[in-house]
This record gives sequence, C-alpha cells and structure tokens, in this order.
Amino acid sequence: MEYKNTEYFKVGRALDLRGWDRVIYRMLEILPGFLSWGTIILVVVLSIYQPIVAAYFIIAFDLYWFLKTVYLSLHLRHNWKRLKYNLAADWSAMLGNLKYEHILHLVLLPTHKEGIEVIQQTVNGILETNYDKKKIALVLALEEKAGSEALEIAKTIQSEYADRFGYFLTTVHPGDVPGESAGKGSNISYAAEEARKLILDEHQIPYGDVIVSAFDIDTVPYKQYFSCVTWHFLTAPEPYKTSFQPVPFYNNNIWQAPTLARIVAGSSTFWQMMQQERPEKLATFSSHSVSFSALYEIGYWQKNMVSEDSRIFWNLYLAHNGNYSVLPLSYPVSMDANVAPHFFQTVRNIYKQHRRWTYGVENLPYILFGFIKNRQIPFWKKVSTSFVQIEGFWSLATNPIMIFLLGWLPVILGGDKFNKLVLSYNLPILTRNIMVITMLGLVISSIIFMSFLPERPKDKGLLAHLGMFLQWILVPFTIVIFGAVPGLDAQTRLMFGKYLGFWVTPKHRKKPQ
Amino acid sequence: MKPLSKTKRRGYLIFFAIVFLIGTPLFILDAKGYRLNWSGVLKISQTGGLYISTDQSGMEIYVNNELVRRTSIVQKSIYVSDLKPALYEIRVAKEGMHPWNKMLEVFPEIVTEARSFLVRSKPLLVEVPRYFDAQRGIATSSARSDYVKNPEFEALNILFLPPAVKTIPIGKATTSPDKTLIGLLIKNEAGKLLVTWAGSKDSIPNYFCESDVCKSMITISTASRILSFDFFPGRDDLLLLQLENGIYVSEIDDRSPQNVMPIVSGLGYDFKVKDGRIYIKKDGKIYLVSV
Repeated sequence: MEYKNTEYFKVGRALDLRGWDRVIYRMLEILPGFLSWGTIILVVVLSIYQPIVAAYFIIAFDLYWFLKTVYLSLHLRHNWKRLKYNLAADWSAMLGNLKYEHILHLVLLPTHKEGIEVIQQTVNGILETNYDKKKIALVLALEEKAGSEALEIAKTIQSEYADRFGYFLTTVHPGDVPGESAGKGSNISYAAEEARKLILDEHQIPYGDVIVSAFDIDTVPYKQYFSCVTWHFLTAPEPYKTSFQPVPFYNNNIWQAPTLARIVAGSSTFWQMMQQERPEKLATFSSHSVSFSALYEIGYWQKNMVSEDSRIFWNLYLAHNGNYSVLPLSYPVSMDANVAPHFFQTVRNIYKQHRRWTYGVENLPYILFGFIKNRQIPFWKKVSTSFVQIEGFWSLATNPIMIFLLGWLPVILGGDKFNKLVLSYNLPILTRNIMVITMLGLVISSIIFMSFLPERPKDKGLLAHLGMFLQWILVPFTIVIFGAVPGLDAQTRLMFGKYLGFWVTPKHRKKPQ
Repeated sequence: MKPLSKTKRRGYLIFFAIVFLIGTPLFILDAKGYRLNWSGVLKISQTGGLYISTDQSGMEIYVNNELVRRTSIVQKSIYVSDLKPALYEIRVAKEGMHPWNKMLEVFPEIVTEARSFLVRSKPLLVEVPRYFDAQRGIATSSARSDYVKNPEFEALNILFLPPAVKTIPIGKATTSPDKTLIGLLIKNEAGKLLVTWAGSKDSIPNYFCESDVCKSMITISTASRILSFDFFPGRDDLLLLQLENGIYVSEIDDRSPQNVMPIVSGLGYDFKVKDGRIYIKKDGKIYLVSV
C-alpha cells in the first residue's frame, strides 16, 4: 500500500492512533521536550555536582555556538546577494524563453476576521505583480465562524476585484466539521477542493498546469513573484515533487511596528534566508507555492493540526518516499510584522505567534513515525533528516538559554571548591568574550535588514532609521524570550499532551500619524 | 545566481568542525590557566591567579610593587591571571590609611584569594555626649542640675559595665570569651585567640587553606594579651581586639604577615560593637569610631 493511503498518513497526534502505534507516536511526541529539558536539567545538575565537567561543556558549547553563528552568517550573506540578484533579475524576460502560457496560478487567501484594508493591500499587491492576471485564479477563503461581517467584506472585495483576475472565487469553510481542528489547514484545503470543482474542472484546466500559492491574508508578493515561481516550476527537474519557498519579509507595516516586533520579524526573515542556502534543512514555511496535482494526490493540507504550512511538505515527502524537496526561491513576499494597539498586547501576540510557529515541533513525531513505517525511504536519508530535524528543534529551545543564561551556572552553583579554580574565574570571561565577538556579527544583520526596508514614510524621522539599525543589540533578549522560551513552551505542551490549537495572529494596522 | 554550492558548504562545515575539534581543548586549557611560554624552548606551563578584594574605592593594589589597579565604585576587587606559581607580595594602600600587606602563594590552576582591609591612620572619634542642655538644645559632657541625661550614652554605658552587674540580652554578649559566627569558633585562651572552622568542609574560608591543604586552627597572638574581642562590623574575617595598650583590628587570615592595625593606642581603652557601630570608652567618655 502506498504510504499516502495508510490510516496514519494524516495523523495529527497520538490520540488519532491505536495500539502500539499510539504508544510509539506518544513517545515521539515526548522526545523533543525530553531532549530539551534534559539538556537544561543536565547543565544545572552538572553545575552542582560536577561543575568542572559543566564548565568544559559550556566552553565547548560557547565555541560551537560561535562557529555555528559564523557558519550561518556565511549562508545569510550569500542569500542576501542572491536575493538582491533575484530582485533585480527580469523573470518575465527569462520566462519568454519558455512555454509558460498554460500555467495557472491558484492563489489561496485564507481570511478570518481581518479588516478590509488588510485584504485590499494583499489583493492590490497581487494586481501589481507583472504576471498576466488572467492567468491568476484568486480564492478568498472565508471561515463560516467569522460571521456575516467577514462575508460582507468578501462581497465588497469580490465586487471590486473579481473581474480583474482570470478567476475569482469566494469559499466559506463550514465550522465544526467533525475531525477538523479550526485553523488555516482546514480552510485552505476546503478552498482548494472548491477551486478544483468550480474553476479547474469547470474550465477543464489540467491539474498539472496549476501552481497553488498558499498565502496568508497579509501576504503581498513582490512584483515578479509569479514569474519567478513559474520559471522555477518550469525548469525544476521534478516540478511535481517540489515545493517553492519564498523568503518572508515583514515589510507591510515595518515602519509602524514597535522595536521588539521588528527584531523578531527580521530574525525570522534571516532564519529563512539562511535556510534558503541549506535546502536539505528547508521545509515549507508560511506562504509557499506548490503544484496542484501534488496537493490533490494527497488530499491537500492536513485539517487536524496547527502547523499545516510545514506539515504539507512532510506529507509530500513521505508520500513520495523521501523523493520530494523544497526549492528555495530566494525571492521575497511581504507580510505583516506583529503589531497590536498596545505594546504589551504586541509582546503577547509575538509570543503566541512564535509559540505557534515553534509548535512546528509536532512535525517531528510525524516525521519519525513516518520513517519507522515507510520502508521505501533510504535508511541514511532517514538518519540524516532525523538528525537535522531533532537538532533544529533542540537548538531552537536550548541554545539561547544555554548561551545567555546558563553560562554562569557552574560559578553560581559549583560551590566554594570550584570557585577557587582559575577555570571558575575564566569561564564567565570566556563566555562573555565569545558572546561579544558573536554580537559583532549583528552589524551585518543590521546592514542586511536596512537594505530591504521599504522607503521611510514621511511621518518618520531619521531617528526611526537609526532605531532600525540599533535595535539589533536587543537580540540576546529577543532570542531567549521570543525564540527559546516559546520553543520550550511548545515542546513542553507536546510532551505532556496539552496540544496547542490554532491561534490566528491578529492583523492590526497602525494608521500613519 | 546559484545557491551556495554543496562543495563550498561542505568545505565550510569541515573547516568549522576542525576549528571546533582543535579549538575546544585549547579553550579549555586556556580557561584552566595553561599558557605557552618561550624560554629558549616552547613549553606549556600552568598558571594560577590572585583575587584581591577591598571594601572601598580609590585603593591602589600592588603586586610585587607594581600597581595593578586602582579600585573604583563599581570595581572594588581585582583578578590577576596568568601568574606563574610563586610567592607574590601584595600591597593595598590608600593615603591616610595603614597599608595592608600580604605574601600570597600562587598555585597552578588555583586562584588565591585574599580580602584586604585598611583603617585610617587617624580614626575619627566622635564623642557621645553624656548630657543635653534642653533649653539651649546642645549636648555636653559636663554635668549640671538642669541638664538631662543622654539616653544613648546611658544605653551604651551599660554595655561597658562588667558582666556581673549588667543585664545581657541573649546572644548579644560582647565580652564572652568564646564566639561563633557562621561556622567560625573563636576561643580566648590565655590572651591568644584560637580560631577553628566548625562549618562544612566545602565552605571553609579560603584563608584556612593553601592550595588543597587546609589547616584546622589559626592562632591570633599579639605583643600583649588580648583582653576581649569581637567581630568587626560587617566582616567575618576581621576581629576587633582589646589589648592592654589599645584597640586593634586583626584579620584572622594568618598568611604572612597577619595584619594587625591599631585603631587607638594607649592604656585604658575598652570597646563595644552595637548595631554595626564601634564604640570606644576611655576615662568615662564614650566615642563613636569611624575607621
């Protein structure tokens, strides 16, 4: 039996399984939290009972972190160049050498209760792309639960924009469908199926000619996005076994976003940029594109979990027995940085958004379980992919805490005997020095961040520009509070079976003063 | 433009892996105090360090007669690293104060710690008045029928009465021959103080030990008999001593030399510590001392 036809292909959590499968899956859910907490507890316990060993470990870890930062910076720098190159390239002209007229872009815009100005900005952004709009099918995917106001907004959008696209469809995902959990996955799956029936089948469009772009409601593609995706789709060796990942910028409202939101958004962009140079570590994230036929074959996105954006990649990866990959586009789409009416609300929203993102750890048991069950995937591919994924979630939740908080533990907990050693005196100095040198790399981050900023609004002074540069000194704080802590939170929830539900990030726009 | 090639990335990875594998032991050895020396031949030697703490800013700390640092409000201690195992002469000095000297031995991989103390060459003595002239609102030491007694003086004066005639609050005795403080047990035996550590082995104060070897007892002996003693306010490593010829401060640390500094010299002085302050009595007058 093909893996995609097995009962566990679209498993959401251990409770969906029975017997030993449930036990194994449950253990795999515990694994990431166990590893992360185990590491932190180990450092604390070693600091008390074996402070010298703990100090050795911390020194080795400091060096590892430093080298990893430099290593990733090289990837970031290269991707920066590539992004600039791709932004400057004329993708339409490049498409001119290919036969591409048959390609249709199906753009899914899932919306919940966002304001009309958010949707308008996105739709206008799509209209401003240089791709033939008649080759774009826009689907505004509503949630029934969002109520009549959302429906009214959808009607307004449809009347305003429908005739400017090749196809325009508004879908309303019914609420409380058994077996579904509320979230983007169930909505866009419903929308994709509706689009299949009402657009593709109705107009006899071959599924293989359709590229689906699963956007967020605030995703504004850059001018040549669809040309760029089309070119890559047509030139990819196996386009139906490939997902296409853009780089998420958070420029829609970056000048209105508070400092913390800007840093966190920028950090997220940098992370994706680094991953773009490491495609074997890349899974789809947030807005991405993929062939319709690939989606159709596996029944679209999972409807019973939170991280549908990355899970769809793993679904396809397992369905194709490991012969499926993500092609990094190194071309941006722009989204909203997290902005709420008040500062503390913003902080709370950033935390919740990052917890949702880091809840992508729910993919780890799915992948490992799939590796146990799917014997068609080569063994060493399983080993290397498992290692990459486990290390990724482990380092996300533990590394910043170990670097910024635990580096001094042996000195605090090691006792008088340890504190008389040269090692005890030198440990904080060494940790501090490595940290300071590593932080110098933030200058590069500042420069890259500035280079992609949209034009400064007239109501913002030079100080705002300076703030954009200096904000990066807060990274040691944000990387712990909005990186490691929500990561650990997500893993702990998964570990104890307190499964997270989907949380829609509110899209709030501050009006320019 | 192509992504970073696999070959290049593998090259980076191998390079950083090699740096990590070589760097980690080197960093650990460096943190443990190992240093490369060139003395005709290249060799690795183990070093130790010194940690000298002070209580005040503006103090000059010398190691082997070389000024290492002047303390500031934010940094009142120094850590001197990369010292070859040997005996080092430490001096902490400030104008108008008795200097503090100590010969400290540095051992490989270990930081030798010492806590300095300095007292003024001329301490400030402020007399606690015996009476108040209520009408004029001034204090005085001479008696008159219309003056009222200063209750502070009265309270302090009780402290200075012989043990037999005063009421001693529990745990506040200042002339008892034995004292304990956070594990330190001090006995006055025939005018000499015997200090032993009664706390846990792991938390023994550094001045009991040199390298890994700790002694069980430290003796404080002075030129004349120690009549009474108490802990110096705010310090568990310093003692106030009443000798026949004055009041002194001595450190328990007996690593050479054991610093003993005079607060006041002369016959007939007595002292008491109350609420973190030092009071001295002589010829019926009580003074608040600032050292």
